[in-house]
Amino acid sequence: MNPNIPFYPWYAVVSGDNLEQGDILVDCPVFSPPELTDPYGPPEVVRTRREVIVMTQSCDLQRDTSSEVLLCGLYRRSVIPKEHKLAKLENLENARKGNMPAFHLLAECDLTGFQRELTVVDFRRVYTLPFKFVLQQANKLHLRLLPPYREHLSQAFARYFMRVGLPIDMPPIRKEA
Amino acid sequence: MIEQKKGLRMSETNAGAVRAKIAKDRQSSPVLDEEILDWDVPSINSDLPSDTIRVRVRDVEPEPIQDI
Repeated sequence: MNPNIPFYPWYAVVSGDNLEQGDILVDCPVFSPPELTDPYGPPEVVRTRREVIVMTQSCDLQRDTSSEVLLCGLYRRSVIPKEHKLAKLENLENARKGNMPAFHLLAECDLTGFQRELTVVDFRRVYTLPFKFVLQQANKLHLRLLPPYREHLSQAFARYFMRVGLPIDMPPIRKEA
Repeated sequence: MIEQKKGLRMSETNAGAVRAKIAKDRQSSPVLDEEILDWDVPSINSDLPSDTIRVRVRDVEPEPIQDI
């Protein structure tokens, strides 16, 4: 860590009987129907184990424990394919500045035993799972994104979801000749 | 009767085609593991008991991050 940059903690290590927004689950099973289903065979689901972050507001999680939990997919920097736009430093910096609305960056973590590299939250990979199921997954030591970084993440997600594409944008404002 | 037989042949053909497509699909995302689970499906009407369905669960690798 660069000693010249002021430090404000991004993460804490927690264990699970109180699930909160920003909890990072590293090996969480998520389920989806297969792209093709056999209408003549037994019902099938596809299960992948992946890194996810809890997006549901903490107060909603406390208020209604029968509800579903919203999660977004995480990708560590080292698993981004080299042909992906985010493999370029310039685009990664754009994502950091919030100019790539589908992505949000989470800082590296150097907490002992929980070190992790720069991570991309992909807002296009969204999952829901039952609260009790997620609680079970969180019932071991895991990282939690701390305020105000988790609110920043939540705001970025909202911005992604509510964005509007204009048919014709206002032209750039340039210096008058 | 003839119509019924035709219908049966059609559905068998469709089943074969669907299974062939599924087999091709699975080649592109190899199955790591597979198990049969009994899942409780909560009833929409809370007065009714939940139902149980038997499902085949296929484990596959998560896909890489999609480009934009």
